[in-house]
Amino acid sequence: MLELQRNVVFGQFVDTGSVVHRVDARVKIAAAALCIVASFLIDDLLGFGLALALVVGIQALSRIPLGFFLRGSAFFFGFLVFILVFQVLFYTGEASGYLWRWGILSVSAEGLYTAGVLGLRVVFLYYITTLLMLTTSLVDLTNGLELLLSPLQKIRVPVNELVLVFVIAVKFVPIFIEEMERLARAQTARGVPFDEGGAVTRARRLGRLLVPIFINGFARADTLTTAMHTRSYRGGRNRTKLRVMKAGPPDWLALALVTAWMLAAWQL
Amino acid sequence: MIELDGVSFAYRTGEGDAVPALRDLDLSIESGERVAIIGHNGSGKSTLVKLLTAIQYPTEGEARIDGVPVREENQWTIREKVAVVFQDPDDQIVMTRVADDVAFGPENLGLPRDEIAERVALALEALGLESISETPIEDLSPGQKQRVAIAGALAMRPRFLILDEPTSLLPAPLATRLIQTVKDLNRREGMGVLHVTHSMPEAALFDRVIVMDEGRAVMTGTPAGVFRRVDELRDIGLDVPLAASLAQRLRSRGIPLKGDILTDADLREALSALAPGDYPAEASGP
Repeated sequence: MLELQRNVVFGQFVDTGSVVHRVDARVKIAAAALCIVASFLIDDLLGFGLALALVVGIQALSRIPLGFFLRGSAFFFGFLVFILVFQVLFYTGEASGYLWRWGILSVSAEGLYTAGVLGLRVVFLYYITTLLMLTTSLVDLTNGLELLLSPLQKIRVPVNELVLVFVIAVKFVPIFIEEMERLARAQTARGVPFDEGGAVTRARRLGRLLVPIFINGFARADTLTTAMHTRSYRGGRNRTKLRVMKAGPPDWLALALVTAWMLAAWQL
Repeated sequence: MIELDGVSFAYRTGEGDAVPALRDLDLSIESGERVAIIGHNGSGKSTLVKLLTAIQYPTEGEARIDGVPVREENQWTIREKVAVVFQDPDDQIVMTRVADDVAFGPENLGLPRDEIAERVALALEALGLESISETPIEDLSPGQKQRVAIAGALAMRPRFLILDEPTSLLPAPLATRLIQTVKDLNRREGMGVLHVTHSMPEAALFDRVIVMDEGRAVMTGTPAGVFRRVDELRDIGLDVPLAASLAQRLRSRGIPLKGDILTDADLREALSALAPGDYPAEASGP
């Protein structure tokens, strides 16, 4: 019941050592941001066809098997289809003619088209962000983000601290999952049936896990603060970074290519 | 060196009385010395660690590390001199990859990048972590995580390394190996080691043992000297290593065991060294 991570590809990092993996993280983040912006400008099937073709190309270069990606996205696609069916049935815009109609429910060519474009937009967004995380380790991702956002430091946005908070949050996820599983086993051993009963009963039983997890979380945060102090952490200023990021001509070329492609997809 | 002159410390509770955790403690630990601090929960040993790392400050008396008084204005100087390894590595590892976490401390000191790289490489090598330097922390075993935590402390190049019960979550053989590693490091780096523990067998591996009870240092001396005082240790609720306790009982029955007996191996050796004539008549019974 607590197999949270195993079957979802979103957020995983798979190191195949491909060209895509070796591109500078800042360039990848910038390119992904660009694609996200583009996805809001593009509004026809041809545009999305082009945009998706680029991502499929990147996926092929990254040597991450398509099957692995699709299997890990089954839940996402199921959910998407569910949403899109509603999108079609409750379409309220101008319709030239109805293919089927019953009360307020209808199926029209326009409804199908709008839902199709929306679906492609969501798939594109999901695809590009998942691929970014699949090909960039968390350390590179956060370092890249920190460097990209560092100009904000000038207007007193505590970028370094915020990124560190994010890193720590992510670091604790597997620790808390493990703790939750241990607590669940301990309670199961005392006769609490976690997978029986209705939704409400189950939710209430989960409460018994959440309270100790919460208390534990505070205790851990307290110790971690002490540990960080003893390790001389005094905020983001005056820190040196061990890892340096170097973007060379191939990185810039990659960014230029993505930009050009997205512009083409938008304008065509 | 670490010097404590009449140090007292009390935790301020909400409104009621302050709870004394350290009472008039005098202590001195030489640079490069290897000391084990033992005591049961609430004996004040954890508070001592907090004082030595400038997390808390003495309410009375003065603590000095290499001559620098432990006061709020010196907190960052103190923390450069003293590094700590805590009980649960999950609570002190900050970054998500081995090398990055070992670099965390030196990065905070704002050292030049080359020096950080060198310190990280040496710390990883000292703990045999070179091959997993790029591994995500979550994929490590508890023992490996604890070694990462020690490497992180070592990369700070401290004058003193404090181990605050870092072995209590590890299986015994792994714990002993870890202590051995730290002792080797001490020999190589000339850095003082304070091992806070309630494991007597581990304490027996150190040069000096300080026993704490109710905020005071009640005994101090070599492990052999301290563990001979079995009854006093029992009175303050500490378990003596089985071999030491057995040796003491055998001696009290007139069996002349030779040497200092702390471990099972010591006892075995002392017993096999006995000559047949050494058994007194009254000791042969049950």
